[in-house]
Amino acid sequence: MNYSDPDLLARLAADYVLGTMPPRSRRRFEKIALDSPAARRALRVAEEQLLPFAAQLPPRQPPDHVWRAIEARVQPAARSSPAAAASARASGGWWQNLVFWRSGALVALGLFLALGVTQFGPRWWQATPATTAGMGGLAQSYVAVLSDTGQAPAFLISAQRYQRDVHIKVLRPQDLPPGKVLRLWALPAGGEPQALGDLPAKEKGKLELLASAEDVLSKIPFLGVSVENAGTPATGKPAGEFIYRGPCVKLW
Amino acid sequence: MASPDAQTLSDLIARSALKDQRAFKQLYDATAARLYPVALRILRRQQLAEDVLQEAFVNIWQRADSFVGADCHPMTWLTSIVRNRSIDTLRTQKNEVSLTREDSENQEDAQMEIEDDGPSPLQMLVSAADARQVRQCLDRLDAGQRQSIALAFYQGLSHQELANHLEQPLGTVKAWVRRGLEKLGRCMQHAAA
Repeated sequence: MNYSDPDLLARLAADYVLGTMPPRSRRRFEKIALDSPAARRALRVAEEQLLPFAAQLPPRQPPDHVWRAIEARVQPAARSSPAAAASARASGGWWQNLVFWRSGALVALGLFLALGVTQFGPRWWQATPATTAGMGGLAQSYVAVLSDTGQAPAFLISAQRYQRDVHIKVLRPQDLPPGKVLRLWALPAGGEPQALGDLPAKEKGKLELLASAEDVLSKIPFLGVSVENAGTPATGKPAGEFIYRGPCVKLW
Repeated sequence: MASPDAQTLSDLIARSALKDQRAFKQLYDATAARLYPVALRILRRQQLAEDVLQEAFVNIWQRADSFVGADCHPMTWLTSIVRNRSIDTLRTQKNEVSLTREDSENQEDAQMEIEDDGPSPLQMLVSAADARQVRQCLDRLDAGQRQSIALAFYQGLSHQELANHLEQPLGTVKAWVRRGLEKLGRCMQHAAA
């Protein structure tokens, strides 16, 4: 295609701004616009013509937590510079989001502890006599409440400190498309995520670690959940982003 | 809500480029309620729209310096970031997560909620035109052109989805959109001149 043809560029730009352009063509047009001032001009013309229509939508205030999440990500402590942010993204995209995940997940965990672990019942929280008593007489355990970005809890993960079983309680049933599974990952600070196993979609379940929870989780600040193709080996990198996350805390 | 003054918004973006957090917060307060519906309209799910708005503003914070000297209306610049992200997210969602039952239920809820609280895409396009006194430009489009552009613009429908929705062959819909955009573009240029 001859990308110097102004009519063609105008048409592509309008198609891009309107949103009817297919994804691959969108990427291609974005690349063209980076190199071509004529394409950028066409894009700006199309935007100036079409985008004012968007301003006509009835205004609607987003919920407060949206700003809090943005604020957490633009704090100087979290991001020293755009360059640092870019390199952080390049080196480990999943890590950058953790800062703002923490607050909501901690609140969820706090609530869970405050409301009384006992409410969830002793069925999953099975202290064996051999276990050292931890906080409040509960078994020493690793615990995580995994939430989505809206901070609604979806999974409660717990593992007794010196055992290999990880207990999963599904707080919000997950309806997965056929052929997909939810996979649990340990997210070490500054390292690659490590797959721990697949999660049940509803009620509760169990998965077995390769070593004791103490060995696997003691240095893990966060756990995350990704959507994977069923049957793929639980190794390597996550296929997509982490749809649920939460801090992995020591209950003792 | 009064439309924020362009000069004020440009100043806030410029100060955000200098990493002035207070200016950035003011920018958010002045524009979020107008940008959020842009994402919500396209994605039709609050959760997704909130995520997109969040990502868009982090992006605005990181890229604010690219606005300085870009010679476009600040609201256009901000809207383009939110819209592009919304459209990309919508396409990714459709491609990757074939809708689960829970998702489609959510989507129906959200859809109803949004359909109920607002005018139709076509009404919005027309009222936008009223506001910009380019009603006559829209009048020059035929009904199919007008409707397909309104649906694509406000609901992020792709060519294929437009064809399904309007029960027309894909080629027809593509031609409607293309000719409609051309006509609209030409007419708006005259109106602006």
